Amino acid sequence: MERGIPPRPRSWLPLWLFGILLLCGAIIWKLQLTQFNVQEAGQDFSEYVSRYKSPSFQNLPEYLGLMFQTVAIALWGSSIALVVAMSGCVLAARNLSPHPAVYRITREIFSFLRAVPDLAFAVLFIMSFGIGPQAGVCAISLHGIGFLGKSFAESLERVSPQTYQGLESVGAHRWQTLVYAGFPSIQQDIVGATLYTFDRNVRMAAVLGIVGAGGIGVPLKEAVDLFRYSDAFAILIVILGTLLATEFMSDSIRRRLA
Amino acid sequence: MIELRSVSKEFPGGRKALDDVSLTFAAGTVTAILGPSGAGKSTLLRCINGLETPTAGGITVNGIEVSPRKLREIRREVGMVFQHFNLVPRLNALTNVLTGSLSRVPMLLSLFYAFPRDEIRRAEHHLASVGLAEHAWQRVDRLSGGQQQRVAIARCLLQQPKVILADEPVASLDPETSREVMQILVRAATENQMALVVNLHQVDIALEFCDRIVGLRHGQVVIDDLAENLTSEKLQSLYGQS
Repeated sequence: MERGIPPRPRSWLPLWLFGILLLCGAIIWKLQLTQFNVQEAGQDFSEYVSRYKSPSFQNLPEYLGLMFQTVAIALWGSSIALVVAMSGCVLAARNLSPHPAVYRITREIFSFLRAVPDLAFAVLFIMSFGIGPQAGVCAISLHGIGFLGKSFAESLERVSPQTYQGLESVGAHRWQTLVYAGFPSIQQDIVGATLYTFDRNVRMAAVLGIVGAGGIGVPLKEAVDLFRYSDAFAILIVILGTLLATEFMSDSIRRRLA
Repeated sequence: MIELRSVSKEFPGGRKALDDVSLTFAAGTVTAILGPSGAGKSTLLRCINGLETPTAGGITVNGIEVSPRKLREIRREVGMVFQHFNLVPRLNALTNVLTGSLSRVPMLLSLFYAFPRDEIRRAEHHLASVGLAEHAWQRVDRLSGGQQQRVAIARCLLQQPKVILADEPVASLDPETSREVMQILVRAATENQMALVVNLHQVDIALEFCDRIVGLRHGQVVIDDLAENLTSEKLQSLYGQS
């Protein structure tokens, strides 16, 4: 006897969408977002922006120096994160970890570091060893270790077991298997994730200065606090230029390695 | 060289993959293992290099008793050639061949991709002997299937094992490339006095290249004879309805 196609499995998507819609409605009602007058807000905003008329580049050498410091903070933070993540990711990859407990613990550590915002780490470090770029480097590298460690570990898990098996079959040691089968296979992921982190870290390092963790953020906050709009404008331009430059650089590296 | 004594392997759940198999494979001989899917061909090879542990019986390779504690020692003596080559796709052909020497080169240097000069010379020699000298610096994922399998054979030769186990080495290659690869594999093993055991599902290839043919069915040895005494028709009975 011929059997027909079984009924289509039930999809829960409509229910989810309905739930999300309901939630959005509740938020608007609860926060009374409707009172937010778009026109008025637009006017306020354009009035504020109009204060940034002409940038003043008198202190440009100082800004460039501090911008350099910000990039250095990002670079140091990213490098430390890269080295620690590359050593630690092996323990956090299910297929390579020496023990399931080690896997769980390192995974949780990485997740925790990634979940804590760099800003929170920065505040913590500023309180413990004072204002300055050291706090920024520590904050950024801790967050980066979490992000890169987890991402490398996941990449290592995606490498085909056949690749590892080939190395094991010639009697290779565990570490050799990692160096010859693991890392080359995820090389592209390593480069991509690291460049992404560096890009992000330059942006974060600029912001971290606002809480006192060194770099270009320090004079920016000062200028804004003292209503020195022309100085603030100049600093913003320096930051923007640097961000564009780093992004262009990492994009071109990524393209070359693809 | 390889000796299996009444080897049985029962998987959890009661399926018997190998049932009282006793075989010996001598150095310099080429043996094909034939049989339908699920006859236990792969399990047989996996037991020899310690990837599976038999539930009964014993195996010795080159005088060493196969046991989970001696895994790396056994694997050094046993070269494997796989259906899907199992190379590292992003490394070049020469480096893939060099990994064959990893179990004997200085550990610390090997972690920095540094190999002794004589190992590099040997790797180049083996790569040339499988006809791939000019592809040495090419990434293996840019090579064809037949070329990749030849790189895998060269890696196996650099390992200098006493035994080569090949698990369906030509199953994912076209007929012409299959012949080329089998030729290279058989020549390499006989020249170097290794015992070669090949799982195959192409009867004609087995008859053409192998000295001896072992037929497996439901985990039991039902044929064990020299290839010259067998015919294609006789072997087809292996695959018939039970």
